[in-house]
Amino acid sequence: MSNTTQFDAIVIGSGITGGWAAKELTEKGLKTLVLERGRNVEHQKDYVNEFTPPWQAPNGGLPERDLDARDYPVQSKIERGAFGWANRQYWINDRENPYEQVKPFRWHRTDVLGGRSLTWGRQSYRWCEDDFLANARDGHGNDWPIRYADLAPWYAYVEKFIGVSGQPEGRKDFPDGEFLPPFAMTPVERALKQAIEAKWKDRCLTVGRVANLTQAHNGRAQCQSRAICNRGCSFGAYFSSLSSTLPAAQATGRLTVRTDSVVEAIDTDPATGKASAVRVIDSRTGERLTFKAKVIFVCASTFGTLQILLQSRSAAHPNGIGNHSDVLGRYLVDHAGAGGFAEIPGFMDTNYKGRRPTGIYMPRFRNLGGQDPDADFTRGYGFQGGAMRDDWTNTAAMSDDFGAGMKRNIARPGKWIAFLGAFCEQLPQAHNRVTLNDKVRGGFGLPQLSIDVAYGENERRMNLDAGKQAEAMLKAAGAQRVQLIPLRTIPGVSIHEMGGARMGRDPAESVLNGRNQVHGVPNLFVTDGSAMASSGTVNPSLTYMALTARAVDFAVAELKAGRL
Amino acid sequence: MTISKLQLFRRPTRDAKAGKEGVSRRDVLAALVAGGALAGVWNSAGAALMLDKAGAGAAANAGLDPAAMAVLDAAAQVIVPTTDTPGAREAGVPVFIDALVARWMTADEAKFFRDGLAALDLSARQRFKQGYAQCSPAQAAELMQELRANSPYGGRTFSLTDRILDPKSPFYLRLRDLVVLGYFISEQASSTELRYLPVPGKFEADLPMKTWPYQTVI
Repeated sequence: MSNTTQFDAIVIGSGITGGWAAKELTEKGLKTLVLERGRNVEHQKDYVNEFTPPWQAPNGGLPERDLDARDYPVQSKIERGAFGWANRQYWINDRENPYEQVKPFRWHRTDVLGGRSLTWGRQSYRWCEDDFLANARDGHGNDWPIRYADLAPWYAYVEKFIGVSGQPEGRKDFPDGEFLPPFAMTPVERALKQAIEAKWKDRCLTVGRVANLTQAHNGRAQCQSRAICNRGCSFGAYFSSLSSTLPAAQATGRLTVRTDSVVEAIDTDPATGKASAVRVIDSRTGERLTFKAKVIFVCASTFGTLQILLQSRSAAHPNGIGNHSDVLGRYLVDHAGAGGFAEIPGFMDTNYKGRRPTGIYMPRFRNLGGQDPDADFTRGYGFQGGAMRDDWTNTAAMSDDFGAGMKRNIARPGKWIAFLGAFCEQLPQAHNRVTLNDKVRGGFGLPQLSIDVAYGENERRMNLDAGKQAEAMLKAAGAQRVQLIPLRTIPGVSIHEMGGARMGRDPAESVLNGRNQVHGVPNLFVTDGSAMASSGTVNPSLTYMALTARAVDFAVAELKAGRL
Repeated sequence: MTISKLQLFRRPTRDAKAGKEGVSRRDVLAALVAGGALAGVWNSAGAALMLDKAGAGAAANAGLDPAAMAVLDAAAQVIVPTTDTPGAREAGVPVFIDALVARWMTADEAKFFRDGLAALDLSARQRFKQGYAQCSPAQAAELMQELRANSPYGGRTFSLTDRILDPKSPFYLRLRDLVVLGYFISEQASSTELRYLPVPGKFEADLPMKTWPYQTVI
């Protein structure tokens, strides 16, 4: 590959959005280059611990404390067991890739082809009409340039390809999608649903909508209910770039993938104002290369994208490309949260077999369609959770006995434990931002990204409310005692970082227009989480995918019409 | 397959044997997806070849000496005795813990653990005039119960791993928790007390305990 290779399109990043951009661009006839900063990972072949049984886990599965402290001080703190012996190899080496935390921020990121599509939680929800209206209504954040109707057909398009299992609920505030059959709820989850919906008529509890296939779909096998998805899945039973979008792009014969390629900057042509090339550092050789294309999609994950845009400085863009407004890097949001768990008495004669790769979901019920009189905060939250029997790792830690009785007790399925954890919408604020620290050089001699993001009073109040509501609902289902826990008090923990290159109607208040096009740079598109103007309450990835497919459709039409 | 040091501390690499025998992971997966003879395939010795293997790494600390191993072996069997299912000894738990002492614990933790075993042995010599390993099951259990009663713990955790990682965990709990961990991750416990189902195939949400009284492990 020469360093002046001309492509029709370049996609920076190969994760959830990069894979979608690659698929759509190649299927529409464009010769496309995907640049991935991480190393190559091959579907199936490189899921090295996928079938390692517990008795072959190194150190019995206990953390490698020295290694983690040295190389993974941030990644190893990821919650819910998503980092460990089975998949450490997918996460980024923090020592080699430092960033600055002006305030505590956990930046969880992978460093492999496929990105976080390999390790994500796969919860897949549509935004609702109110999510797009919220900024305009209450004045926090700028008005979204699109509405639910703009995205609805693209949600359907994406869902049909990736495969989302779920239960239709027929609610306007929680739009249904193109669903595969839902996973079943456990008896205690059904009891929880009944108790909650009987007491609060406006609340809904349903099984988690998840990008795991409950039946064979698009050449991929159905979910085998192992629930070890973040090791990688050779069955292709959950959506990842490696199992679905990149193979689809590959099948067109128009895809080139270049891994180990750290993007330094995007160049613009002073004559036309258009983006003309992407400058890359080969992470293995240090070699610098330049690739040219007619259209460029930046899908490098929220902070990865912002870093690249900020680094793309030129006479025309002295503060980074698309940053004439000083909005670039600002209005970052994530999901805060608190939760509660409790033992639900009874049901001891029922059990389940297999491991479900999802939980339950409760769509937002606070401040819907107006401010609730008893709420001292703006906007709301959704709950995720579940009810399962305690397993041996928990029951063993809650006892200190020994002998034959202990052996029997720990082996048996434990008591039923129900859990509800909130994802609270964070208000967009200008002071929550990332910048480049040119004085401190990070990986590959590039300026370090400096993250200055914190939760505020509104998030704190919402967390308190979410805890109270979780407690009330668990008690309604028969729990005697509820333990409340702070869940997501440090930003980054939810791995839902969004914003920084937000979409908007006014170029003075936003970086992107309603088509994810950088204001003033018509052939440059940004479609990952950085495009978000607010966080909503549901998990964001499905929205990123819909935005990406929609933006490619527009970009290719414009290109063919000679307007890019 | 019994737990051994060799299996415990392998780094993942590709298994050359699987290729030589002409059966690849992909072939196995294809068979599994097709639903063919799932349990049979997976429980056979051949399936073990499909799993990734790797070489053992070097030890950082010395392991346990024979005297300490004898105390550990006896203590492990008191904590998880043989019943109608294998006990800690058959499951290879002492070897597992010895390997943790050598490869995983810090020097301070290894010393704390060795000292704890020595103190347990000393308590047996003082009360029963013989080493802990020579005590009768009743004597060994009596000393263990006493150790338990004299081991207050103020911590509160939600997972066994968290408690094992807690530096404030007293020797009794450290010993007991490592034995429990080693036992329940062993192949023996995974196939007798628990049910190791690497590929359950589907999630069945509501089964009577009478027909399925197990925890599914993967």
